[in-house]
Amino acid sequence: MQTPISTKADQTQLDALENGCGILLWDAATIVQHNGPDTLDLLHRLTTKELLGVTEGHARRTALTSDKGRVVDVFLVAHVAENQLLLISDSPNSERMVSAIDYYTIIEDAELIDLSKTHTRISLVGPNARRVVESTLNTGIEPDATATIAFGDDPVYMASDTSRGVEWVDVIYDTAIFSRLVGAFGNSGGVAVDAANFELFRIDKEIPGSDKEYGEHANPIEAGLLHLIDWDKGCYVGQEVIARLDAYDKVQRNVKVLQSNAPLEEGAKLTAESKPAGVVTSASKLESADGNFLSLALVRKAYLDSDTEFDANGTTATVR
Amino acid sequence: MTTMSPGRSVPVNTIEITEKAAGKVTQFAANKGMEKFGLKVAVKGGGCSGLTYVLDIVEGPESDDKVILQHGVEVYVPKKAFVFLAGTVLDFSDGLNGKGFEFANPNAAKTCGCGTSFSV
Repeated sequence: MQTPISTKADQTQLDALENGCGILLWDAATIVQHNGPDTLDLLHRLTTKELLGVTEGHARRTALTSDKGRVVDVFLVAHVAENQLLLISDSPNSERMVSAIDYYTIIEDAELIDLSKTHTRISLVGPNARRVVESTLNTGIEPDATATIAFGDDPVYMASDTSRGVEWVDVIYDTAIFSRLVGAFGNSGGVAVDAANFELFRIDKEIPGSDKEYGEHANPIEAGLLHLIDWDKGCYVGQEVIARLDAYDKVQRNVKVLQSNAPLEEGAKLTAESKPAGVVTSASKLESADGNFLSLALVRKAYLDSDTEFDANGTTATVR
Repeated sequence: MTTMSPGRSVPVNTIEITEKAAGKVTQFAANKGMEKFGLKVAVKGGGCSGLTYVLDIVEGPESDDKVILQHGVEVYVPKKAFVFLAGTVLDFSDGLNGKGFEFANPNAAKTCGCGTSFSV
C-alpha cells in the first residue's frame, strides 16, 4: 500500500512567519537595476504610487498598470544609490517588467539591467525580520528603507517593505554567495520556509500574489492592491480607467479567503445558487491546524459576506 | 496642449507645424529674448494613456534630433520619439475656447480625456 503524502502544514515554519522570522529563498524573481538620473521621475509618471519622495536610502512598492488599467507588474522601488534603483518583483518573468519600462523609455536618461539570472533574492518575513538582518549583517534597517553592505567582497542589497501588512525585508546578492548568507540568517534565528508553507501563510494573510490575484486579468482595486494607489498624485498609465472604476463604483470583484475541507484547484470557477460567483486564484494544498484548506479567490461583489457558500468543481468552499 | 483628430494628410516621414503654431512659437521665443531658437517636439512615457507629448523652445538641436524647417521655425524631434510622431500636425488654437498647442497624431489609437497623453 502506498504511504499517503503528508499534506499537513509545518507549524514550525508558520510560527516563524507569524511570530519570528521566516527565510524564503525565491526560485525565480524579477531583479532589475535601473540606472540614470531620470529613473525615479520616469517610474513616478508610469506607476500608481508617488515616487518622487523616495530619496536615496528609501524604498516604496508600486504597481505598473496598462492603459486599460490592468496590472502589468508590482514591484519594490529601492533607491540604493545616487541615480541607481533596484526594482524587485515577485514575478518569475523579468522580461515583462523590463520590456514594459523599456517601451516607455524614450527621451529619458535611464538604463535597465536585468540581474534576475545572476542574483538571488531572499525575503525575510515576520516580526523579527529586521532584527535577524541586523544581527546577521551588523546593519540596522528601518521600515521602507534600503541598505547596502559588503559580505566578504560582494555587495548585499537590503530593502524593507511595509506594504504587505507584515514585516518584510528583501535581500539581494550575487548568486555565488547565497549559501553562506542563508546559513548566516539561520544562525541568527531565521527559519527556512518552503514555497508551500509560505503560500499558505500568504493566503491566510490575504497577500495578493503575482499572476494569481493580480496580473493582466485584474485591475489593482479588485486584486487587493488599493493601498498601492495614490489618488492625488496625478497621471500615470491607466490612471483614468482606475479613477473611473473607483469613482463610479464599477469594481465587480474583490479578493477573499475561502476555506474548504478539501484542497481547491487554482482556476476553478465558483458558483453560488448555480450562478457564476468568482474564480479561485490561489489554492494551498496544505491542511491547516484546524483541518481546513485555504484559498484566495476573486469573488463577485454580491457574494462577499462571511460564510457565503460556493461550489468549486464539486468541492464546497465558504468565505472566511 | 491637446490632441485633435487628423483633418488632413501629412507625409508619414515628417511632422508638420502650421503657420499659426509657428507664429506662436516665434512669439514665445521673442518673449524669452531668444534670437536663435527651435521647437523641441518629443514624447515621454507617462500620462493616463502611456505616452505624453513634450514641447519646449530650445536654442538648438541635440545630436540625435531630426530637424524639420517649416514656416521659418526649426522643429527638433528625437529619433526615438519620431516613430510615435510621424505624420503629426501641430496646430495652435487660441481665443476663449482655445486649447493652446494641439496635436493631430495619426499614430494615436487612444487618447486620455484631457488630451495630453496617447497610446499607439
